[in-house]
Order: sequence, then C-alpha cells, then structure tokens
Amino acid sequence: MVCLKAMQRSYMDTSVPIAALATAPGESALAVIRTSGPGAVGLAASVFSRPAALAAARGLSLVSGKLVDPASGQAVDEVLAAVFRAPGGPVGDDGVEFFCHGSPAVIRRALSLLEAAGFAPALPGEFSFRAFANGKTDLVKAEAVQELVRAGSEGARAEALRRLEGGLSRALRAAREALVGTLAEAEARLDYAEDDDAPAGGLELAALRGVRDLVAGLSASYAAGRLFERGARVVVAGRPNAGKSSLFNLLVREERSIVAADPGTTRDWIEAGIELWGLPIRLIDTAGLRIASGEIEAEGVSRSRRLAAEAEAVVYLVDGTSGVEPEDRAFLESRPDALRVWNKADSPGCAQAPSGYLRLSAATGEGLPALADALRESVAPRFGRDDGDARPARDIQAARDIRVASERQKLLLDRAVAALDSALAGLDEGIPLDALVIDLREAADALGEITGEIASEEILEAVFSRFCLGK
Amino acid sequence: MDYEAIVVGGGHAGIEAALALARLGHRTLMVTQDLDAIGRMSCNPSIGGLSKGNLVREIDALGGQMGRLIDESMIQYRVLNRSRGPAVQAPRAQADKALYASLARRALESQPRLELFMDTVVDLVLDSSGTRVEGVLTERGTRIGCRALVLTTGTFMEGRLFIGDWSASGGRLGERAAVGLGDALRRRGFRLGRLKTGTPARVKAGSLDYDEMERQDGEELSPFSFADEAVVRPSLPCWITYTNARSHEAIRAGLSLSPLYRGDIKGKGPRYCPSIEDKVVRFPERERHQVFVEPEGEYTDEMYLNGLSSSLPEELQSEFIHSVPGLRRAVIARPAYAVEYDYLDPSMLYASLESKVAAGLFVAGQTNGSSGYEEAAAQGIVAGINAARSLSGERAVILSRAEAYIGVLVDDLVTLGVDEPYRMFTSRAERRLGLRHDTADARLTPIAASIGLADAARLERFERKMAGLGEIRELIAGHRIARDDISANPGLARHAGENAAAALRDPALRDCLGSLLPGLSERFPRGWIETAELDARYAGYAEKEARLAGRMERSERLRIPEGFDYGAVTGLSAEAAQRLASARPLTLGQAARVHGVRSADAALLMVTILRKTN
Repeated sequence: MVCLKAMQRSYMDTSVPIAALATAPGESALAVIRTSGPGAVGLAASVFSRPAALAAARGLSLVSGKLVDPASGQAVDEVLAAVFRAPGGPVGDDGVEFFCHGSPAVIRRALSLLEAAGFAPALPGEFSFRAFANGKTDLVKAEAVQELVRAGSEGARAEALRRLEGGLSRALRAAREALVGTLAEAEARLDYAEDDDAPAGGLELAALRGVRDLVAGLSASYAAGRLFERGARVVVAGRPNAGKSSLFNLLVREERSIVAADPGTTRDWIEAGIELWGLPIRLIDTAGLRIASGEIEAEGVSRSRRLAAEAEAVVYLVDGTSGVEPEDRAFLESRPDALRVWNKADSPGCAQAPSGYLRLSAATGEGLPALADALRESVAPRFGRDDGDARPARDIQAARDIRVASERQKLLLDRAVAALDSALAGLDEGIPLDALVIDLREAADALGEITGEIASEEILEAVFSRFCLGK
Repeated sequence: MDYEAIVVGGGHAGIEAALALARLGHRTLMVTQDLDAIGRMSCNPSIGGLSKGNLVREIDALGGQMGRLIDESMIQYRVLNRSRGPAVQAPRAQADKALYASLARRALESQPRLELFMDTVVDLVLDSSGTRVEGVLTERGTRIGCRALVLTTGTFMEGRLFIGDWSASGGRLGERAAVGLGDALRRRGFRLGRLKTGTPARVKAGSLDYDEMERQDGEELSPFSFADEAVVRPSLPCWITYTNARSHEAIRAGLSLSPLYRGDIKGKGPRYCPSIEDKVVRFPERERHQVFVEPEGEYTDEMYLNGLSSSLPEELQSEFIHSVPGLRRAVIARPAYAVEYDYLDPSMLYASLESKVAAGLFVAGQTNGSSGYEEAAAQGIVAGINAARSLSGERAVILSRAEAYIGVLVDDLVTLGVDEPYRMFTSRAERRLGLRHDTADARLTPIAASIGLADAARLERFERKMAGLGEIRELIAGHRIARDDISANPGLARHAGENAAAALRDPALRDCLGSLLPGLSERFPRGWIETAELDARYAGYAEKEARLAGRMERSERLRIPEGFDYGAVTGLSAEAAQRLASARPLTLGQAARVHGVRSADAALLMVTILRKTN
C-alpha cells in the first residue's frame, strides 16, 4: 500500500473515504476489501460493472457484479458487494465491502482501482476509530477488533470475539456499577448532615472488597491475555540425540503452520507457531543450541536452561536406550515441572520407563496422545483455563474467563486496584469518608476510562432515587 | 430616572447583586414590588448547612453581605458533620427572620450609589436590534433606562400558589406575583419553564408540647463572615419530633386532593426537598419522617415545621400536624403551600451569568432554576460583579470548579441547564477537599481585592491571617518529634525524628497537635490552628484529589474557538452537534458536561479542536 500518502493523513479526517483489505494478506479463498466514509457508495459504484444498482442499493443489501477499471473497461474480479448506509453498518458511515477472490494480484489491482477512484488507504485501526467516533463501539470493543484482526489461533479469535460481544465491557460495567453504588451510598452520607433524616446503618463495604478482587483478577488475566496473543512457549529439551527434532516435527506436523524455521542462522534455536486445542503455542526446539563449533557442552546446556526457564512449559526427552544421565538430572532439578518423556519406546534397546515418565516413540508417534494430554494439562492453566474450552462469560463471576489484552487496560485496572487498596486501608485506619471517597472516585474513573464512560451525574441519580432527605 | 444598572428584585440574589454593583462604583437602582419584603426568608429560618455554608463563606470572602447579615441575626449556630470528614463540615445558623430582613434593608439603604424603588417590572427594553438591554418597563408605564440589568425574580415571575384545590396568583403567601414579565420574555423568545417549590406550616410556639420532643441546642456562636471577630447573640433551641403511621395514613387518604397529584401543578419540584406527601408516596417503607421545629425569631411566636412542606388542603394539614408528638395541640399560624413559578433556562447564559441573547442582561437566583437562599446569593454576587465589569469594559470574573462551590454552581447551571430546582451538594464538586469552608478567604479574597470588593479592614485581617497561617505551618514543619513528645504521647514513637506534619497525617494520632506545640493556642486564634492542622492532616488526599481533578482541568483549559461549527465535525452525533451549538460551551470540559454529549463526541471534539488550533 502507498504509505507516504497515508502518513500525511490524520485519523481526524473522518470525511475522507477510506479503503483497505480487511482480511489477512496472502493467498486465500476469499478476501474482503472494506471501504467507508461519506460518498463511499458512489465512489465504489464508479469502479463497478453495475454502477446504478450499487449506487441505489439500500443499507445491508448485497449486489453482485464486477470490479471494472473504468479507464480500460477491463474486469478485475467478480465480486459480491455488501452495502452499508450511515448510521448503520459496522462503522456507522456509508460503505461497501467487496468480497473478492483471495489472490494477491487481484487484491493489489482492486485496491489501486479504488485508490484511483478517490479512496484513501485506511490508516491502521481507522475503521475502528470511526466506529468509535460514530458511537458504534466503546474503547474495549475497538481494541478487541484490533486483536480479532491479529488473532493467530482459534482460541485467540474466540477470545477477541467474546470481548467484542462486550464480555469485558460487561464485567467492567458490573464492577463499576458496584463501585458507583458504594460511592453513591457514601455520597449520600456525606451530602446530608448527621442530624438529618439520613440513611441509617453502616456503609456496606463488603461489596468493595469483592470489586477489588474482581478487578485484581481482571488485571492478573492480562498475562493470560498476552499468552493468547503471543502463544505459550513450550520448549523441547534433552540431551543430544534424545529425539527433540523428531518430536518437534511430529508436533508441528504440517509444514505450513511453521512461522519461523531458521536453524543456526539468526537464532540458534528453531521455533514454530502451532495450535493445540485452540491455544496458540510457540514450540521451541533447542536442538540448534548445541554444537556451535568450539563450544563446550556446558554452554549449550545453560542456554537451553535459560530458554526453558522463560517458557510456560518444558517437554524433556530422555533417550530410553541410554537412560537418565547426571546431565538430565541436573536439568530436571532446575525445572521440576517439566514433562518427562521416555523416548525411543519403539527401539528394541529401550529400557523400562521409570515412574513419572511418559513413554513415547517420536519416530512412530506411539504415546503422542498421552503426551498431548499431559501438555494440555500443563499449558491450559497458563491461559486461565482448566481445559481449552472457550465459553462465553455471562456474569460477574464468569469474568474470570475474560482476558484483558491491552497494556492500557492493564494499567487502568492496576490504577483501580491501587485506589481500592488505598480506600480499604484507609477504612481500617479510620480515615474519614470524604477523603476515602477520593480513592473510590479514582477507581471508578479508571474503570470508566477503559470503556470510555465517565461518571458523576449517575452518582447523584442514585443518591436521589434511594434516599429521602430533607433539611 | 436613568441608572447605570438596575437590579430587579430584593431577595437574596438581588441584595448581593445591587451591593456589588454599587460598591464597584456604579449608580444602581433596585426595583422591588415591596420595599418591606427585602431580604425576606420565604421558607426555612436558617442560613448555611452542608455546601451551603461553604457558599455563604465564599460570598463573604468575595465581599458579599450574606455572612454579615446572618452573623448579626443568628439565634443558633452549629457546625454540621463534625464526626465526618473536614470537607463535609459546614456551619449552619438559625436566623431571626425579621431581624435578618431589616438588616438587609439597612445594608441596601446605607449603601452609597444605590437607590431603592417600589414598582413591578413587566418587560425589558431592548435596543433596535433586540440584542442589547437598554432598560425596563414597569407596571405603571415608567420606562427606566440602564446599561446593565440584573433579573432576580425569585418565585414571583408568574408565580402561583396552591393549597388543596385553592389556587391564586402570588409569589409568597399574601404577596402578589410579578405578572407580565414572564409572558413578555416568552414573547421575546427567551426559553422559560415552570418549577415548583413549597413551604411547611408555621405554628404557635406557645401551643407545643416540648416534653414530647427532643431538644437540640446549638453550640458556641461563631461568625460566618471572615470580617467578623465574634458573634454576640442569643442561642435558642430547636426541637425534633417524628411523623408516624397515623400521619402517613391521613396523608395517603388525602393524596387525591393534592394539587400535585391532581395535576394542577405542572412544574417540577426538588427531589431532595420533597413535600411530606411526596415522602410518604416515594418511601412507603419508612415508618416515620423527621421533623425539626425551629424558631422563626426572637420576638415572634411562630415556629417552622421543617420536613412537613405540603400543598394538601388545610383541614388535612392540621390533621397530620396534630398526629405528630409535640404538635398535637399546635395552633397553625400560616398554612403550608406550594408555589409554581417561571424560570429562565440558565443554559442561555454565559458563565458570567450574562445572557447569550441580550447583552447587558444578567440573571441570578431562583430565576435560573436554583433553590436556596445561599445558591441565590452566590449567583447574585457573580451577576453583580460581572454586570459591574461589563459596565467598565473589564473581563468577566469566572470562578473555576476547582476554586469555589460558586464556580461549580454557575458552571452546572449554565452548562447543564436544570430540570428541577438546583441545590448545591458537596458531591457536585470534583475538589471537595480543596473547597473547605474555612479556606474560602484564602481562595477568594485575593480575587475580591483585585476587583475592588475587599475593603481595607478586610484586607488587613486577611493578610494578618495568611501570615499567621504561614507561621503555624512553619512551626508544624519545623517541629521534630523528640523523646519528650513520645513520653507524653507514646503513639508518637513511630514518628520519632519526623516532623509534626507526619504525625498529623497519621489517622491514629488525632489531636496530637496540642501536645506537640502547646504554645500555638496562646499565640494564634483557634480557627487558624484548625485550618493549618486540617491542611497538614489531609495534604496527601488533597494532592490525590487535585491530581484526579487535574485530568478534568486539562479539558477545562482547552478552549473551543468562538463560532466553532459543530455541524462540520464529521462523526459528531446530530444530537450532540445540535445541543452543543445551542449551549455554546467555552471549553471542552464544559462541552463534555452538556447533556446528550457522549464521551465519544467529546473525544472527537477534542481532536478536532487540537488539530484546528495547531
């Protein structure tokens, strides 16, 4: 895409019609090109084989035809055009989405056609920004859209989808509502004199602790959220010839899912992005770690340990024909949670596996299902799951299943937790309510900022609706 | 008979506006329907209370009159909420109503450059373009010219009184309404609405059974005004009693006879100050409601039944009043009644309280949809100051929300408009801890001085106090906690070597200042020490609050260019664009507070403005 032109534009030029490929680049069965902005339908019609039909199409309707180069009259692709009219559609502006064939050449030509017709290439996230500006989405949803686009695996996609549906928004709102409720109670006490007909009884602050724990839980889920984005690192380790590469290849199975496989060159290990039970995994083979010429064995081991130490899980292979060596013991002591695998089970010289080891033949695949199960059990909790199942969140409790995935959200959640901790500590110390309320307001603000809402009238609203006060 | 300025109305807003104008050097006329009703307290016989007490002290710090009037007429004084935090403590005083009103009138009459005149204003006189005020027209056909006009009509503009099915034109019971002005303003295209408020019955003090009620005495009298040293006045008790099931039954049985429930009253009443019938309907689970029985003055036998405002028929009023302990034999002197009146949409005003429609026209008090004497007086002094400044071609004084409750009040009114009578609450302020009543002088007297409303005596007192506060702060900061301190107060042990301020911040060590610095109380007045102590004790929270509000202040500082075209901002919702175009906010912060403007709209507006100004 022509980046120079894009750089000069700002997100604020919301009157400029924009276009971009909405699906992942590369060869695929289907590609979607999204256009949006005032006049988008008319502009799109100028490169369409049935301009009148497209220009007259109502919102949320489909028109079939061809993308045509008006200069040469040549058809570029046979497409289906989905029409959106403001304020409907995903962005809230007029727009057309073209469903074309997923050939990079076709996409390139289609985009340059649209650009010639007057569409500016969209900036990253510009559709989402406009959707936000048009009130189509709140900030949480906008961020979720971004991840949906980036999502590498089924699990991540489900996660992003769930957030898009407002799971996180809902959980945050529930937390914030509980907080605002407490705040309203506090304000009601503060706004009326003590001798007045004020609400009786102590302030219900148990809810506050619940909110604090919930928010802290959401914040903690950030790590899990990042895992969904980056994938859990699983290191395959073991002495030379323990069968690491065979297992690595067995797990990767299909070559096309390898994202990087460059032994010895830029990195000294091999890494592949795979997906197990919907969870994104970065499988790391430490084979390349070893023998760089002149390197002593110990150096390779120590590097392998370093990689393993940072990994979410480790599969440690022991050559069943030669048994457990001191080197193996040393590694396993440093990483006692490693999955222990007794490899080469198919080989006649293979000894009986000691207890705690899984029998495997990386060569034949025997024992792989058991290893996969064990691996799932060890990785899934890192994603905050007992298993790989992705269930939609329904209530505040189910918020435990909702992941926070942006740094901004994480920081705001932490700010809310710190404010709530300060309020709870102040409460124990006997700090007066009007000072404590500052912490509560800070927490409510931080939560509101995540979804882009800000409170204050709502507090008064709650005060008025609940209490009967005079003087 | 022409003046530089005319103030219409002699209530709490009019008094402050007229005095500020005359004190700032402008020949001013106050036109009132009844010279004998100047400064009359239509409802409760008290001044101050939570946030309202802060308003009174702010008005005083700006050079206003209300604090001095109540100092000279109080018959009971209390600081409310001593058991809660510093931000929500506030002084309240019971007033001798008759004395208060006569003091107000004397203040006006003795003010040079100010004249009073009894007449009823029925219309404005505008210039040929209809965009500038040139005077007023009165009922008797007199045209009085002026360059600045302050409207403070209270509940009198097209006022209507209600008791059961009886209804009559009136502004207060026994006083006629100002008829004609509201309709004239409507014809001129001003947006007017109706609001409602009410007042309870007054009963004869000699007819009450005091042994059936709980006595509530005041504390040692203390002045509201920073210019007054001490108050020497009598202190009378108030009494507390409660309604009961019988009262509620009588009220429920009579609901159909209430003008409110019959639909005779269209205006919306204040939710926070509901009539007793409202309370019974809205809170059916409550078994009783509190009633304060308050004296109306030293030389009157009338008592005010705070909490029993009503518009039910008189027979029903006496039935429920007589069901309440202490009031069983009460002789009713004046019935409770409701009043419905015209107010002008305050969102048609700038924060200077000048009209966006007619230059030179300022509006203050209940006419802007507020309720309460203090809220009225606060707007009165703002309108008076800014009318005076517009006369002399100076920039308007606009107090920020972080600076004063007055700033919050005015900003709320002109930005949000009202849909019920607006009352001040501490929770409306983002910087509550920074707006303590005892710091009103530090916050506002420098402003009064700069505009010419602080006289020499006030300034001298102010400077002495600020210097004293500085000394106290230095003493607190300079005192290291030593072995002697700890042996006198073992709790101080964990602050050994720290200064006294650190100990003050420790919630476990309340009241340690006296033992740490025993010399303070001999050298400085108690109030000063308390102020310095509160400052030190809550410094951490005040900073936190300031930081929080700082986020808001950034958008307060972002000014929206004059004549900004909201229609041209793509993506702005049509509703927001329309509301913003009519509200004409001055800053992004104000824009974000306009009803119907979502945070997405504000975000969009912000980036648009930033891009335009860069």
